[in-house]
Amino acid sequence: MKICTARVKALIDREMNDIWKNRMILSTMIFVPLIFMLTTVGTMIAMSRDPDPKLNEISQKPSVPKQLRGLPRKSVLMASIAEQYLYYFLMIPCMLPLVIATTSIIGEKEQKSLEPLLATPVSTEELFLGKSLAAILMPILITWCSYGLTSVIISFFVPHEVLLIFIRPAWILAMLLLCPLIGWLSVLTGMIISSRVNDYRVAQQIGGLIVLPIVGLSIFDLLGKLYFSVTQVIMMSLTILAVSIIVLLIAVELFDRETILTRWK
Amino acid sequence: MELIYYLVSLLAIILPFLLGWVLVKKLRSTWRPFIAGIATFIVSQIAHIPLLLLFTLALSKSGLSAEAIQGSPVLIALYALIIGLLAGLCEELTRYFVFRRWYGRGTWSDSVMLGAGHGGVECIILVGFLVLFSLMRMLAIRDGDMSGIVIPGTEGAVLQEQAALFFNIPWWKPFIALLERAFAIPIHIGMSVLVMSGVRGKSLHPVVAAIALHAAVDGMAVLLLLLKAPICAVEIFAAIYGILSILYVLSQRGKAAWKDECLPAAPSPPDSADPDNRETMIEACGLSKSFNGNTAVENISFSVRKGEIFGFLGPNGAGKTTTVRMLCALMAPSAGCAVISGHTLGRDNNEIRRTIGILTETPGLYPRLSAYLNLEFYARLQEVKNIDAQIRKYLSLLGLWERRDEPAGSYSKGMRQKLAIARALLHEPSIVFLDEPTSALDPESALVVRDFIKSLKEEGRTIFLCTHNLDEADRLCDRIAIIKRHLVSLDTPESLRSRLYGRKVQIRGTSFPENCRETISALPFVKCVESGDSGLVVELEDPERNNAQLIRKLVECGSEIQYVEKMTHSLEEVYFSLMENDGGQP
Repeated sequence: MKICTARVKALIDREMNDIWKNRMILSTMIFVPLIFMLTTVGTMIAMSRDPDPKLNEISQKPSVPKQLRGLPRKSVLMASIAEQYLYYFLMIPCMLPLVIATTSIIGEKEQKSLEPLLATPVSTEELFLGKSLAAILMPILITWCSYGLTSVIISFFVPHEVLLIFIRPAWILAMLLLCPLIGWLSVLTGMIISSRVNDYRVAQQIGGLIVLPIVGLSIFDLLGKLYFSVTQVIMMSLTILAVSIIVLLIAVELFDRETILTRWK
Repeated sequence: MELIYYLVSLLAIILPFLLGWVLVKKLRSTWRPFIAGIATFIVSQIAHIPLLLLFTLALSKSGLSAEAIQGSPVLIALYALIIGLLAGLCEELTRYFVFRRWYGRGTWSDSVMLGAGHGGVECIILVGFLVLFSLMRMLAIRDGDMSGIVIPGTEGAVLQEQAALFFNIPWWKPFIALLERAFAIPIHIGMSVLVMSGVRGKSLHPVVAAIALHAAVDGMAVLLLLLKAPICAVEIFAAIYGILSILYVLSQRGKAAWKDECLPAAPSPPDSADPDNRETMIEACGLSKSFNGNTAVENISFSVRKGEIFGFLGPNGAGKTTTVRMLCALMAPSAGCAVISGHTLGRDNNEIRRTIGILTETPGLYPRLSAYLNLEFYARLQEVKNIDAQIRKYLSLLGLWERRDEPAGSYSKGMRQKLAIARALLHEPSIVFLDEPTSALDPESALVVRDFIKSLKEEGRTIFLCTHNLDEADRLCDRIAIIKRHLVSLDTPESLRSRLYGRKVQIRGTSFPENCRETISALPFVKCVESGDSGLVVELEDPERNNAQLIRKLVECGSEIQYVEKMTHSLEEVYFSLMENDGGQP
């Protein structure tokens, strides 16, 4: 398998050009991270301004992770809430690549541009790689930027120990390792769904289910059953990698030239 | 330690897929056989579970004791046979289904790959487990016990128990077992080839044979185990059967039944019928394509010479687009072969795609991108050297240069079609496939496109023109192929006419004496004489040579001639006649 980087780059450039000219994708890429950032920053600022939060939520939590024990009550509360919001940043690479991948493939189907494209020397691997990278690159950059920016902004408002929890190694590793893998899985899922449906809204609605495992993780966190550690992040990453490989098999099968021309309808 | 255990487990799961991926990629650039192999494997494994349960339940209901069952070779044989037969039935029917649905074309190599996928997975999974258990063994030796490396709970206890069993056997035993399982590959290849020969022969009979064989093999292995035969008996049996399978597969390779798969064909010598002795650019030989048993194209053979405009006519659904897709290496033929510009279809697909340019039925442009960016993208994919100059050249030739920065979506239909033509030519292909190039164009744009096609011919390019426009085909094409799933006719427009209607001249005059018809009928070059509305219609061998003699004879007879004209028939008439002759409406 020989990959021609020039062709992959041409594919990425074309996709990027299309993304910049597609208002729907652009608005999704701006507003989703913005809403997550504003929610996190807004909540942290509001909590930091309350000198003695009279909230009982802390006592309603079944258990406080042992890592937070010993911290001041307000810090525990802020760290718990911040921990929940961190899962939002895992949802960004889940949602945005899905939107880009589904729009791109269903767009190609609508425009009937796949046949001339497949008649060029571009290999299935190059096509797959180009489309995947184009769908992942921007969302990952956006996720990292929004996480970094949120960390910088809240650092002015939250206690030092809360900030350290927000930017602890497990979460930084999650951003560096887990986010690209989630993005990749999301793209693969988007591609598989797009090959079967003709409306990008339907594809995105079906693909949207991919956020459910992350919601599940946040619920476990809320119940005090999960507190991200480096080992857990590595395990999750490896699990997603294993799932992605199986999904990749299915996606590559669907990316066969003949399958695209005869079955992608 | 927890992480190491997790990593090793994960590796044992991923390893079969990774190894399979490498294997399949090396052998063939598609995942299909491997996935098909996994499917048959999974079905057969799943099938074993309920069958075993049902059989055990039936035995327990019978009231027989375990000792009685174990002591009865008849019962054991029955048990082995039923399990082997039913599990084999599931597996072989899956294989048959996979071939029918996924491999309409079903070549020998496809069936070999499918069998390799199935047998390979069986073998590789065992390798994964061997790696896992070997690592566990090493860790256990180092730690002194198993407690640190297995997960807690019931599953952990079971695993520990299995591992303990594993440690109690000599270290080399699993590798012998692995060797025995390695025979799963030829065995399953043999099964696949057998089933595929049934699909190709449109008969279920070989599937039944495969099931029976399966039952016999599984049954024999289970029987040997249940009769407490030494393990080497099973291994020897598998080895013998594996070797027999290899011999069977090899014997099938050379059989005539497999001959119609797309084997690499040597480029043909220049067509001797061509007066200019031009190079053959497209050589199709027995091309066929079927989808799920429905034949779209059947046994089409033709050749196209360099610098020729080759018309491809046929009604909707005749297989024109499918043929073009096969020739452009977008689809694999079910049978037959083709050589495009010296490159063999199936083997040199990427070279073929570099050599050809294609205008598809719909322009397929990116509407948000400008015309320039649309072309630039394709130029980069085709690795065009001087991109800007090439884009300028073709956009200028087609009158689009001034509007190059406008989005393609804002273009009219005609402009989009021209842009798509420019895209097909950017990399200076020697063969251009044009599918309905003037459809939906206004007369002026259509004229521009036709002139452009003529200019491409003058440059020495070969044009493969699919069209419904018979007048356009008549004016542009050097030769025309008419298809209706199969090739109905192939010749120059002129020869098609003369083949159908002969070479006739119409003679109009004021008077024709009564004896003149008999007189000219007696001439050796006159084939037929008919009376027309205002004269005679005479069919000649060669009007260009015979006309002068004919006219002289008519004048001698006292005929008064006003006009002598060649009788022409439109290509449309030829087309409909051919279609009707071929059996029904076009």
